Amino acid sequence: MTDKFIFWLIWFVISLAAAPILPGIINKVKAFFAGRKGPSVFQLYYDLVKLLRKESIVSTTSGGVLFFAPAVILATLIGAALFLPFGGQHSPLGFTGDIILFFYLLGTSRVAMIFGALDTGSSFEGMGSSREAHFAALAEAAIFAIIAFLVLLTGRCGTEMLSFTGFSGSMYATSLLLCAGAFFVVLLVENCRVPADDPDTHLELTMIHEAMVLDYAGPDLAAILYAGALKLWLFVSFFVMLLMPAGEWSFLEYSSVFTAGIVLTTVIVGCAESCMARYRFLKVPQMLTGALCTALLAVFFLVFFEGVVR
Amino acid sequence: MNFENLYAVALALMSIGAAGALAAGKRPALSQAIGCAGLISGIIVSAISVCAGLPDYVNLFRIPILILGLAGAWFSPQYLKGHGSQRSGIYYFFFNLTVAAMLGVTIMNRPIPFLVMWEIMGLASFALVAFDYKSRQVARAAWIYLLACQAGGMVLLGMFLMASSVEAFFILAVIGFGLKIGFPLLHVWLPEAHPAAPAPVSALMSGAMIQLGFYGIWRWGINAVASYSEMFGFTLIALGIICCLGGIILSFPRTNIKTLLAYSSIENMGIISLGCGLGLLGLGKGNVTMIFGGFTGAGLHMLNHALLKGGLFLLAGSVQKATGSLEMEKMGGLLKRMPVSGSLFLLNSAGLSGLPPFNAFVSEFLIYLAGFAAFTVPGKPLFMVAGVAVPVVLALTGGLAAAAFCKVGGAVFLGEPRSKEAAEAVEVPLSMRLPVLLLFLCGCAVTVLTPAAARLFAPEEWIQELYPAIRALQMVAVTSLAVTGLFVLLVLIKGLLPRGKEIRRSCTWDCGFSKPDARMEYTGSAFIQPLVFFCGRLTGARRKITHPQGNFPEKSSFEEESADPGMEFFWEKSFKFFFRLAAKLNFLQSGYLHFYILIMTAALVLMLVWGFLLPWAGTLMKGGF
Repeated sequence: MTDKFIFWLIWFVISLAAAPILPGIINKVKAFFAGRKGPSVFQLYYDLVKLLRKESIVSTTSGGVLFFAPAVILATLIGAALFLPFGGQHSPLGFTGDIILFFYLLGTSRVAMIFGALDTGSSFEGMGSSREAHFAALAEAAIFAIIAFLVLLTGRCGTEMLSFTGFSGSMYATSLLLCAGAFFVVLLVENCRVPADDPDTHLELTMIHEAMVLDYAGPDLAAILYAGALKLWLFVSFFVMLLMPAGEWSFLEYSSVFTAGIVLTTVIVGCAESCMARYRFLKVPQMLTGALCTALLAVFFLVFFEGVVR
Repeated sequence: MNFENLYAVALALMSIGAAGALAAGKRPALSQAIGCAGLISGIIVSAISVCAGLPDYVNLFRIPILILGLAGAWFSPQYLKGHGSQRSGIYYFFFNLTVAAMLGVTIMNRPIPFLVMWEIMGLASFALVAFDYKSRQVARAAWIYLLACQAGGMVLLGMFLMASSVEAFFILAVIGFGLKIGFPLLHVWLPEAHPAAPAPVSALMSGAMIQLGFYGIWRWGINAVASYSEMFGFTLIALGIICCLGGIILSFPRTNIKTLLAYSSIENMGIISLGCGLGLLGLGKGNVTMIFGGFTGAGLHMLNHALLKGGLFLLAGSVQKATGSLEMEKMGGLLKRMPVSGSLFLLNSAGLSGLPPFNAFVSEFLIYLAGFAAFTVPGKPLFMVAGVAVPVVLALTGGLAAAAFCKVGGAVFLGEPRSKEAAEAVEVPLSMRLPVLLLFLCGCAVTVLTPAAARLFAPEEWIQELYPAIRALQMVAVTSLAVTGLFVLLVLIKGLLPRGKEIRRSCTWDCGFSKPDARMEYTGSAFIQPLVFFCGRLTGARRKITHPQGNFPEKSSFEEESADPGMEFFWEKSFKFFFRLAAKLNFLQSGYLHFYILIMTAALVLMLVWGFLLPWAGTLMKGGF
């Protein structure tokens, strides 16, 4: 028990500490594709340290939400992180149905972000939050179809289910692959990556997430940037855990495979970002509906071709 | 001691308050005092009997009535001040009567007294909906509400008198009580009546009255005949799915705060219906998790919905009081001007979207658990379909509801004011803020106390099987507290940063504009436009666009109007059809007395044949062959 708890705790702390590397990796990959040297992988850390030493700027329009939103966003994301089975161990806080709480906490952080954005009265932020609200609703449906699939696959209803799935050439492979594909689409949309959103354009009408954070400065902006990185880490970890085969892993084995998985997934996200253009906004809902249908198809495959619940 | 008698005392106290208020109608202050005294004493007496009596599922329906009745009594005096306090007598007469009748509905154990209470509840609340009867819109809304009440009462009478099979009972109950709940197509009165009624009345109706429909379905449609089939569960789930998605999608294009809230009530009734359906399915299969998750989730959601939506309707009343309007596009920036009401509105709306750490998450969580438990029922394809559909629909509804509530919250309370009235709004008096604050705190208490209550009330033989679910509830409560604590901690940590306490005020950055104003910010309609576009005709929104044409375009215009598709494509069409049909039967009204007597005689003869000759022939046939 204590060993398991320590393994989980080590990875939980690593997650909180290492999350800002992921955007760095993506930027490095993008720089590689563009033939540039690119900023350091640790760039976000430098930014965070710099921002934490500055003062906040709050819009005169704000009624106070802008002041509290970053703390809500960060608190809910850290709260959500408590439930992932890091290090191959069930979270010590885990319970039946914690996966629902996990995604709903992400939902709370999103609503805080939207209220914060609308609090500034800026037309850019209104635009960004309007799109965010639209896409998120569809993404949630896709996510819960994926969860339904996982419940069906593992017979469990908590994040512990992630330690029982795995792409190991089992007879569930096809449907699991479909489900992972659907989740990858959700990952891209929820984390504002191309093709749903473009994190590079700060001044365009085409952006979503970046538009919503225009009026944060100093420590608030640091919290928002860190929260974005942490959210990416949570989704990438979820994706890797989904595909990592179940079985008896030693801590070192698990850690190395998990790290490799995280880096690989992030590189894939970076590659996708480098090779694709952003979709038109009307396409993104179609993409999410596609993810929902793919996940439902996975459920269908599981039920009709692979037999009944395990 | 018999606690039923205490309820009788409570009803009597409320009725005395009502009569006293009416009698003292000439002196508004006095009638207000009498009405409130009667109502509050009645509520206290019935609260005692709720607490002291045996635990009973009916209390789940009584508690919202009592809480919202109390909040309404507290909120009304200030709310009525200025536009209706001269008619306090009438108001309190009907308000007390409505609360008493609602309580009566949950007490009466025999069909006829039940129906009488049900009708009094409908009529008294009709009078309240029509309180501002001079406005055309209110008169129309009240008329539609009256029609819906009477139609429901008629169907219920039919159910009690004529239904012969279990299925007939259930179907008639779903229609008759569904008219109260707002099941698809039967919902059209809700978005009309709620905006028309005074705020405390909307809160009472939306938070406590419409869910009495579920009480009716359960008590009279299923329990009275003591039999049910799986199809009942599936029917409720199917209706719930349509209600959830339909309700929230229809809410998108509305710009009246209360209309939007009314549609959101339909959505929440859908969620409750999903829970009840899953519970019924579990009952058929003896699946404890489904029974517990479904029924407890549904019951708890009623309470949560009452607390949150009741609060939101009262807050809508505060906004109306402060700005003189309910049109959200004319508002904006009210959070700065009404900090307490504004923050409560934002918190309540996040709560009603089912987000943790607020209370509605707990009930939705239980329904999710029931949905996922439907998977584990082996060899039942329909259960699996329900098991996939319910979580996906709940998640989608949650996301869409969050969008709708971000729209209201953003348009009304955030940004810059879009009208003079909004810019000059001031915070409402304490007696209008305090009830809402208490409702919200009750909601927080629900999150924390649910696990203990579940442990206390769950049947002893189920505890073993329910252990994971109860532990989950405990952990949800713990996590909610932990996340709130973390939030406070982070705010404090920020203050410890080198320059964490420095806050520079500056105008919103808007790409080079030196002074962004209200005309540049996103309106509620603009916020929700992508979703309205995505949902297309389902929202009932229709737009007329005149594009600018030619080299020197002169005029272009954009109009959007939204009607309820159920009203427009079903009820108005069918009413027109019946009008035409009725016109064809006009010849019956010929004006000749002889003709009328002939018709009456013919009817009498037909009834004689139906009543006597047919049964007689039947017995003859049986005896003969």
